[in-house]
Amino acid sequence: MTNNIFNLSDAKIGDRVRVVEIDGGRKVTNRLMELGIMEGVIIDIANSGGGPLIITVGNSRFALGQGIARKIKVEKAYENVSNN
Amino acid sequence: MGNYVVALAGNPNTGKTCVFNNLTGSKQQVGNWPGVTVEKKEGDIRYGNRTIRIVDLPGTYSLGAFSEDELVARNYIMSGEADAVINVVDATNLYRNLYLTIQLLEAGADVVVALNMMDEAKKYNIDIDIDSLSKELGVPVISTIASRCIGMDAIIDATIKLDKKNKNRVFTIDYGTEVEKGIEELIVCINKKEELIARYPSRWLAIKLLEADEGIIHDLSRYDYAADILSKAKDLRICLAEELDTKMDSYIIKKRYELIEHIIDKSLFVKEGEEPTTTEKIDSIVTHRIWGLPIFIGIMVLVFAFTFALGEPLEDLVGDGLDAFGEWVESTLAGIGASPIFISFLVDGVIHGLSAVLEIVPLLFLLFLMIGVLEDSGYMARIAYIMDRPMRAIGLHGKAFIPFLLGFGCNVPAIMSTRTLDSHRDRMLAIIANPFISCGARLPVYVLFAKVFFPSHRVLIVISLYLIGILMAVLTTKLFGEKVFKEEDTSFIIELPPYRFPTMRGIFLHMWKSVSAFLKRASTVILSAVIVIWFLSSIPFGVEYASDESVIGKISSFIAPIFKPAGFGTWQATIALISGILAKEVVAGTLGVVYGAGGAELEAVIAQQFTPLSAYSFMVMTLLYAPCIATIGAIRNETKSRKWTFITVAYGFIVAWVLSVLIYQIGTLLGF
Ligand SMILES: Nc1nc2c(ncn2[C@@H]2O[C@H](COP(=O)(O)OP(=O)(O)O)[C@@H](O)[C@H]2O)c(=O)[nH]1
Repeated sequence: MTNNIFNLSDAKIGDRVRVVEIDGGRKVTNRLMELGIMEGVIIDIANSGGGPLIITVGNSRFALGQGIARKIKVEKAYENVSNN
Repeated sequence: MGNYVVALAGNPNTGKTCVFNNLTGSKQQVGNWPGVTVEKKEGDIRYGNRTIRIVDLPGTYSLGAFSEDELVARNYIMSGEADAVINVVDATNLYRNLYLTIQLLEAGADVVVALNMMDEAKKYNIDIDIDSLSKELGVPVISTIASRCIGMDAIIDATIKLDKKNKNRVFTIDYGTEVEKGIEELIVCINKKEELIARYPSRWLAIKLLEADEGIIHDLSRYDYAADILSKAKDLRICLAEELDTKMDSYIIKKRYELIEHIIDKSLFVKEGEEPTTTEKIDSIVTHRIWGLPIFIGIMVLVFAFTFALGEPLEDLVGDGLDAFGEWVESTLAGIGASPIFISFLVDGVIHGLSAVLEIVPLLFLLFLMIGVLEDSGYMARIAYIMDRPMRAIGLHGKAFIPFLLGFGCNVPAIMSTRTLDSHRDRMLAIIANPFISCGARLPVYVLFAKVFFPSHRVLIVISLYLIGILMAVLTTKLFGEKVFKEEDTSFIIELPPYRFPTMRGIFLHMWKSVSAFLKRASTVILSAVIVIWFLSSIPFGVEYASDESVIGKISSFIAPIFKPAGFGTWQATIALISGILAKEVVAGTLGVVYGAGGAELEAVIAQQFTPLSAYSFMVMTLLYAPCIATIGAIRNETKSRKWTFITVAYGFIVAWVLSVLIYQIGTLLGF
């Protein structure tokens, strides 16, 4: 399962992913957590490709720079269900 | 019983401003929080026979210590000045919004939750059990729709009732056995220090210390008596982090969210429904990878076209009206035999000076109207997203574009808005380059000169000036970004609120606030500048008004030669520029005063005094040279550095001089 972890910056439009880990400094990690982006949270990717991403978390939408997106490690959500 | 004070707290985009406007109407006072430039809004309302003061806190996601906004909000809550806190919560976004609520409760505030956006929640099929939510949080929860003024009385009623209840309720989160033990240990130490108990609730302080909150640690490190507590907290943090195999601050945040999940499980029901929302549909077009930018540019063109198409005729109307008024005053006063000096004071000084300023009020109204619509509709945040890539080319990220956009209205709020940027570097760059963005106040100069010298290409000339300003801002950002402030910040994150129809009332109040601030300046700074100039132009009494024999003529004749290579080495142009530092609006006004003419007369005088080339060079000078006093003040406040304030001003002047000289000299060579 751990092989399937990738950076949020590499996610594609329409992907649904789960946050596995935030691999950033204290400031970035806490800022993201305050916004509700943390381990275990499901993220939908509404826009990606080169520039910043647009993601949906619950009912919030955020634009997220590539720099931050690279620090968010994610896995495809529901993947283990389809593997069974 | 003294005044009852209620603070308004909430995340950005929850409708907090709307609630504040509904409660206080137009009876608002706008000022600054002490020591910082964060705007402080207050208003009084009557409730029965008592007065309630509403204090609007900055919109924040948390009560941490990451930004000035958060610190202001937190310090105010901790100061105990507020008897109660109304927490505006977006019902469509409970999970994230309750994080702030929980922090308010932990801080011991007496909270009433205004559960706002209930109409949207219904649209999304979100069903909230208000009683259960209220029970879980232990505070009153009132459902509201701020944009339609629904629920406002109920919030106030609930807040007043709080006052009557006993306030012994304590809200605590169970942080788990190990951490609770640590908290206990710290509380024991804290309770031994009278000074600390007086300032903070002990449990709250203990938790903040375990979180390694920068604000608190900084505060306590100033006192010797707190040294042992700080070191104990540090040991505990390391110990606990090892024991629980996690960072303490993340652990504590997570625990808060666990509680929120529990609360939400009990009180929130979402009926299934996965069809894309309106916001998603609009975003798929306006934030499109390819179409996003052209659409944005199109919107900007429309915004400016609308502003100028509607603004110019209105401007002429106001201008003509004031001219007629000036003539009427002159003839009436002459008729009753008033002294010529007094007439000259009123007509040449006050009326001519002010009319150049008041003429742009309609334009400012429209400009702020458009900015208000962009902000309240939710498109502003998309602009930050769309501009991220272009901005990255100059070493900033998309959020830093907003201060530049606001700069087209006025550089003062623009520079103040830089505090939403997370890194010091981005703030400094956005501040230093901002004065080059042509604010509304510089427009009358362009309009006046373009009308006289380039009657058939007016719009083109004005646009070219705006573009020169933008170009200079870009080059400045690049220069300072590469040579001075090097470490680039990579953490761009901004919330994209759902699209909403702005309310007329909200937009109007927004617009009124900005324009009235301008008018207030017009009636104080600008009027006094105009009077001083009139006075200097008139002494020694007996000389011809504003001639080179007057004091002002002499001073400016002395300085004027510096501007000779730029094509406008006249003392009249010089004095206009000098007084323009008070406020850029005054440049046109001063020309009116020193030439003793307004309206069509002024245009005729200018046509004699300038050539098209020197007029353009003068416009470029006006665009780029030193920012006005108010802007310099804002720069000083925001950079907290005299050195950088001075550098910004001096740099602006040098750039302006070099560019005007280049334009004039090259233009002359080319035979213009
Ligand atoms: N549908 C709906 N829109 C609202 C409600 N309250 C505020 N708004 C709109 O939401 C937008 C943001 O509101 P504002 O008061 O500026 O939010 P603030 O950032 O929290 O101060 C504005 O366009 C408001 O008109 C509400 O209860 N329902």
